[in-house]
Amino acid sequence: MEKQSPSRTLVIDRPFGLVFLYAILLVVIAWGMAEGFFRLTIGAGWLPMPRIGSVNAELDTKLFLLDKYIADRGPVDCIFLGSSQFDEAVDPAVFDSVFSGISGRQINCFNFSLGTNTASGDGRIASLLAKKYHPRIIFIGLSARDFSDDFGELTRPLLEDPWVRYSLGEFTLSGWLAENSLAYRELLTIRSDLNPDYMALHDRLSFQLTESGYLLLTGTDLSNPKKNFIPKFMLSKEDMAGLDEMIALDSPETEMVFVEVPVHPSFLPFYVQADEQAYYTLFQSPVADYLARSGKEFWLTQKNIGDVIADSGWTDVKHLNRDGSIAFSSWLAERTAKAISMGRISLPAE
Amino acid sequence: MNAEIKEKIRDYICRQLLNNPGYPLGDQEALITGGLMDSFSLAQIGVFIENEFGVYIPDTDLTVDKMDTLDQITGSILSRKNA
Amino acid sequence: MDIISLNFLFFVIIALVVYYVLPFRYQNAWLLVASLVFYLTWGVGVTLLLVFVSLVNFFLARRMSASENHRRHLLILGLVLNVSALVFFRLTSSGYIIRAVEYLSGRPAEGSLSILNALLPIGFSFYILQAISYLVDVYQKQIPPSDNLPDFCLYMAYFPRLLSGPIERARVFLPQLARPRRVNADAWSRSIMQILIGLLRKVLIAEVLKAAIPEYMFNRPLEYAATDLAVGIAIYGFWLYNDFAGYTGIVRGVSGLFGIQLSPNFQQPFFARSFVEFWNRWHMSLSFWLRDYIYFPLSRSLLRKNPNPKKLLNILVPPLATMLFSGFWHNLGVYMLGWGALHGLYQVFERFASVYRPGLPAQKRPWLVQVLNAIKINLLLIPTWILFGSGSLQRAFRFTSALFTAEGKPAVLPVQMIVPAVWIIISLMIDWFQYHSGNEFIFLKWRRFAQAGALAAILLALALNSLWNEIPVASFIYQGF
Repeated sequence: MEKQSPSRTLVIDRPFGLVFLYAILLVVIAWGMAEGFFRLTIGAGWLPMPRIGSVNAELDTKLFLLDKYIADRGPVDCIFLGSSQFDEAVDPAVFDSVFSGISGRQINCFNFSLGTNTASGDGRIASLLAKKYHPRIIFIGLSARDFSDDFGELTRPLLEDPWVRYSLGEFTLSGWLAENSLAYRELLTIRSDLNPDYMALHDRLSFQLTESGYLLLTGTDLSNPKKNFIPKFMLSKEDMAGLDEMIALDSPETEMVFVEVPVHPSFLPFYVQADEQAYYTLFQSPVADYLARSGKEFWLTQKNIGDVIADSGWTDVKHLNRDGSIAFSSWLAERTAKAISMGRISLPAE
Repeated sequence: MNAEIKEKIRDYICRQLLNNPGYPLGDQEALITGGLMDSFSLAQIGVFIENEFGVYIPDTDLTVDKMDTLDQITGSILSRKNA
Repeated sequence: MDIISLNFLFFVIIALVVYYVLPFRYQNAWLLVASLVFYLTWGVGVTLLLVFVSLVNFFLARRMSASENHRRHLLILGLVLNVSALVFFRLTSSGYIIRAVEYLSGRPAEGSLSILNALLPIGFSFYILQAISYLVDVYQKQIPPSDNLPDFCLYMAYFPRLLSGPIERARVFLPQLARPRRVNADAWSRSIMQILIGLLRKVLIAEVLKAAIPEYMFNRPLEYAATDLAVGIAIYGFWLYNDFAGYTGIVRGVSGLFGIQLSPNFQQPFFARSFVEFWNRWHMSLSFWLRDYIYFPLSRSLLRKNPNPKKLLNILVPPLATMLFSGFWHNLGVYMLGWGALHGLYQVFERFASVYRPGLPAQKRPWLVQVLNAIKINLLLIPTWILFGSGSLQRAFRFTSALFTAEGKPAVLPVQMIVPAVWIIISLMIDWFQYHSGNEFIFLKWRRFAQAGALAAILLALALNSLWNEIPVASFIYQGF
């Protein structure tokens, strides 16, 4: 018998929508089965934990390594965060060893620096890490390029990633699914596996990153193109907002420590507007003053870096190699231990 | 008249369009959808029908719906002749 | 308002709900209002132009029908007006006129002359052909002139087909408006099926294939390896097909919900075994318009003068003229005339072959021969895709040359071809099911469980696509830092 609307145009003459209902049911059942399968196999260790599948392969890799690090050693006490310069400057294993040798206490640290990162990225990622992992100290490595709009190619898009936004408190369905559904994460992993650019970086990092997130490089090439690296330098608004975000994170639960990331002395005359003085007047001093106004110290490293790191410790004019990172990490550990002993940084008793 | 028209059409199609006078073209055989006739053949047969029967089949009626079989073509001619 | 947008979805829902509630006598008016509102989102000017064109053609047809003595003159007037308008907008949108004016005057065209830089109003090329077909059909007394101005305006402005067709015939469309529509559960099933397959093609398949085509392969072909270009052009036709066929599926499905059937535009074109067959399967509404209003009149006129089918003029002129017009209709660039000429020549060669060396028609040959013929047609289509996609004759030649000489670094890796290849196979499988059964709606005859499985897969794919569109793409291709 026909069911007719007043206009008689729409005539539902038989049950309608059953196929659609069956389809929804099929999706739910298939998803449920896939979810069960992956929870079982991943839980039992038969399959690796799938990646977040964000736009940034290094973020995904570091998240994976950090979760594994925590699973093996317990909660992380300190995190290093910055660009590739900090990525290659600080080896947490060396830091941990030197620090515990001086202070007599164990500390678990991880290097979460991301290539091409700038201060705006640092701000968001620092907030994400603080929220998710509650480290006691976050070391932020800052260089002049971290405040220039010319950089940040791989990390600026990251800030729009749905999982990153979700982790920072904004609800996104994709982010929620990535956090709560292993089946969805497997799909994201497959999606990123099919991206050769992503996989090229992922594969490279897989053998360059240590288990504590340090990017290990060897070799030395101090050839300097002698070009004006940042022709027009200005502390960008976006990156200063990132700095504000990091300063705001500073609390009794999480100390924020700001470290100047050095470059090779021969590069300094070409770094900022091809003027060595400009480096100090346009970057170092303003940032140090800005931090000081919030009661934070900017740990300076550039002026006497030649005393800390020999030429053979640089892989190129902006990045340290293995030898250089040992020296720098040791220096940083000593400085940190001293700051703790003087009460400038507090760590809860063990 | 029906049969006469049909035979003339059949003959024309087999001789002129298929180049095969002996082809056993059935009344219901698909000409267009069967690939025996294409657009140019339709134009040809349109002109043939004009000249032979004095009937003009509009371009928009030279379609699969109305000209795919011998029966349909004959019907199109007859309907216009009787109109 | 884009067809693929949430705005359009809400628009259709509102239009549909009101439509179902209204009695028949108000439904056409409601559809006209909805169509004009839809077009207004693209601009007031283009809407006014559409209304103007509709009014002119409506009254011209009525005048033509009322005046036996002046019918022919009025038809010619109507054709001249409509074609002139098309030529005008083609010239302005291609930039020819403004460049000529600036060259002659020696200064930039500003102020009132800026109209000479007018872009082609969206949908204009499509509804102007509808207007022309209407005038010719009225002239030939195939249909009486419409005495219902709102219905005629709806024929011209009907929103599902307004932007990119299908090109409808008044003789098929107006009768649908004249009678009450009934939309039952079967109609809903068919419409939803068309919409879902349309979305699958346009939103999923076409987007993936577009991303797989090297971005600058026509502009800077020498930056790529020859293999990249070969892969790109091989994918191009599939992308174009799925994009356009997807759009057509969606609008036909939407229209079906209102109880109005729109003409099909594609019928598994990649299975064509000849170019004549290809044009009976690709952009069919345009193809059939060209056949009925250019090809047939030209062919018959020449055959009346000389009935010998082997006469050179009879073989050469109709297909070439038809396809050149098709090229012009798409775009006024020389490259599109080249595209039209190439397609015309293909049909000329086929005509020569069938006239001088008649054999079995394609459909009656052994299946292996049919498959090889289909592959042959698809390979011969490649130069036409190059012309169609290049945007200029110079770029087309450069691309063709680069296909054999380019030595850039390969940008397309085999792993990147997995997903596009899977989607091309899915596209061909959809086509195959429809082709083999001769039924566009064959999927509705599957067992319920199979239907549900296919629907589940499509819904899941669409949902994932929507979610993953939020994940940004890093424009910087990582090379190492």
